[in-house]
Amino acid sequence: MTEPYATVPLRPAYDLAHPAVEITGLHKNFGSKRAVDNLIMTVPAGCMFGFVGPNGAGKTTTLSMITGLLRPDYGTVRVLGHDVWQNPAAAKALMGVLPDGLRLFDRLSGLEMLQLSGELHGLSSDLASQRGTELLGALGLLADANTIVADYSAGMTKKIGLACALVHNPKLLILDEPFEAVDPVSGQVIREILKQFVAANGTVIMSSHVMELVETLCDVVGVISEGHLLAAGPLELVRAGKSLQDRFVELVGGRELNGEGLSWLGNS
Amino acid sequence: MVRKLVKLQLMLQWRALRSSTAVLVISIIFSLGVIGGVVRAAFWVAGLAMVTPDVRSVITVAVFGALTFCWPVSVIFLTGSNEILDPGRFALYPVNAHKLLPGLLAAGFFGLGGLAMTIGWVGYAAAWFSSGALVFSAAMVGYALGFVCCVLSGRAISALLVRLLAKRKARDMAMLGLMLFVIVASLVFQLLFTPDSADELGIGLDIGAIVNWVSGIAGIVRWTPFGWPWAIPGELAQGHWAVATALFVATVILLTCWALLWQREIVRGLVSPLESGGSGERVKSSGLFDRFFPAGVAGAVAKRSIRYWRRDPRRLMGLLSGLLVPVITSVTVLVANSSAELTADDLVLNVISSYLPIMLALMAATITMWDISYDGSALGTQIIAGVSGLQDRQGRAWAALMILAPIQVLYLLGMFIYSGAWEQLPNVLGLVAAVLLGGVGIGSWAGSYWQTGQRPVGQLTLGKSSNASVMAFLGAFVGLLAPLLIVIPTVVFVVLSFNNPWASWVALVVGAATGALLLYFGIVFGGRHLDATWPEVLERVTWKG
Repeated sequence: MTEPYATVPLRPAYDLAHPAVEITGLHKNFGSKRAVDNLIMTVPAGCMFGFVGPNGAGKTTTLSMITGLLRPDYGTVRVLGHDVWQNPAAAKALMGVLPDGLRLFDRLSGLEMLQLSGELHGLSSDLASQRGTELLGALGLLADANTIVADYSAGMTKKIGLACALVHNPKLLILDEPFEAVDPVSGQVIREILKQFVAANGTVIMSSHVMELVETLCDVVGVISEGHLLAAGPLELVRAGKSLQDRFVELVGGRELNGEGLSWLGNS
Repeated sequence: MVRKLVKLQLMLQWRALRSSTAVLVISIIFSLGVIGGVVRAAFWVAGLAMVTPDVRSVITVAVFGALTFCWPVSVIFLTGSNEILDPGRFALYPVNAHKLLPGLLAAGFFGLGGLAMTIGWVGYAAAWFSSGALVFSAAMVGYALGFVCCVLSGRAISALLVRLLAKRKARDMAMLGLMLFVIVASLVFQLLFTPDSADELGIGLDIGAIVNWVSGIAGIVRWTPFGWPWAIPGELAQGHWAVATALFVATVILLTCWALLWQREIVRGLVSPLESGGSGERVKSSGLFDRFFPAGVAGAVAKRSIRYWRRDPRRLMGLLSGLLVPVITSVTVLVANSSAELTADDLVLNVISSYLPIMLALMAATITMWDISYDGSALGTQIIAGVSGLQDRQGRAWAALMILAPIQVLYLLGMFIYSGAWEQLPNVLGLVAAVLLGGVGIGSWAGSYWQTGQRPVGQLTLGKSSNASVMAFLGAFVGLLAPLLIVIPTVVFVVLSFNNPWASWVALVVGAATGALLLYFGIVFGGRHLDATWPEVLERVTWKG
């Protein structure tokens, strides 16, 4: 049971004349599997956009195509007016990205990693170093600034990845599962950083499987399943008076175990 | 359980091979080459039926003893531990070591090594066939024990190493340690076995010296665990019943020890699957060091790259192994040429030795070509940041030259101070400039087209995947062939300079110009190709293990 994108209008308060991300007719196949199918999506500037979907729905594939990591079969992606695949340098200069599943240069220390990330984005060495130190402090990693990233825990690595996305002060943040493996205290810091970023007219796109998190943090959501956008728009409109969890299950088609299924389980 | 594990191993190996047609074709060609070599060796072993049992015993003990020693070493270097059937993967299942061991052992017999040993068995049987039923039977039993010993020792040692190397720091140190061992062993081998009786540099080795050498080795190997199973038929053929019986008993005890060691490791693996432990290593960036690099994106790429040359054991190993051949050759020349009186031949050798630094420059293309592959999926950091192909190529070339150029200068100076053949300096400088700069240029260009997924440095084993090994083999071929083509224009003037000294200076100019041009165009065209293919490059360098 799906609803077309058009049935959930976007709140007119957002500036749709200058969207942060505009996706038109995006396709991606992996062999015979269609990962993303004719995706049309607009992310307004200045919002916290939650991108949700079941496993294998096409979230990471879509985000990879927005960030220039994966070439679409066809379709266009524009970031703050720049075509990602025609003018990648201009688009990437405005983005900060926390990808999922990509390693960092983990033989560098946390501080060196942030300096590298800043310098690759065109910051001077001194400015990258100064901002890197501040970010490490904010994320509680200052004591491990000179420890190599390979020796960080999963949560610390995630935080360094997030800091790399922030160090050059982008206009658009694209974060794939930013809270995964992060402890509650750091999670709270990250929430505050993201809220501050949006308040300063930045845009955040984050994917997550945790509906409660998206519900409390995001003001606009998009629901994707099997490569199709099922619904997108302001949180209140998409969840239609229900919890986001219930609405999500309703949209993607939840499965229920009938009485006969797995009856052997627990009866040994 | 045995059938299931063997089937699982074969199925997963087949799928790994089938991952790409190129890998499958190259693996088949490689396997056919190995099998062809083994069949020839088996015929050679079978031919030992013609010689007396004591000579036959000496040779078979030396050959198969060396094989028994090399088996576990090759398991570690070439294939890594048997990751497919790592006991840790069974930790969540209700199986014990007792049940797993026979299956894991049986799986170890299936592979190229197992096939080669089976072919060798036929040759070995033919060699001992005419020595009477008793000696023949002993040879067959000895071979079976030796075969099992190879597989069992390989499994036990790799399982032990995998556990010991679970800590990242220990793993890094072990990788470097193994590499240094190979370097030192090669040097010792060169120094010990430089044939005094032979004329020069091993040319004209006489057969008598080889037989004596093999006999010496066999004499030692026979009394080590590696030679025990292979010495049984020889002792029996010479009527040494007691010694043969003792060797048999010792072999069985040895096998039991290997099995117990392995079983202990399986038990450990089942209750504590491996984790990658961190040591909390702290590093400090040097501001002084950073000043050697230009400001900007290319400089940042170069700084990162050069830090990886020091901190990534895979790259450090690549560098050390690149130094191996020049160092060994230089030491050999120095040793061979250390006699008190200089003869005409020595003077020629002096001139040749001043050209040796070119060998070091030869590694430039290979090193630069594989640099991007070692990044793995971390390359995504650069792609996300919008680093251009040109900036990437410039940064990496800068780092490669920062590493190679000082070593090259020191090596060059050292060899010239030793040889005193300073009149050759322009020639050598021209050739080195062409090969080093041109090599970095060609590596920059080839590396933009050609990448392979390398096992991330944090993962368990020391070996490479079959895919990576095949690609590395081809890469090494291209990396060595290309510089040979680069130097042709310079070589023309070098040859001319033997009769016309002025041509040396032309060789220097031509070499430097060839190198500089190739460096420039390699970086520019490589960069352009990267700009057009970043996502595809990321896909190729990402390890899919």
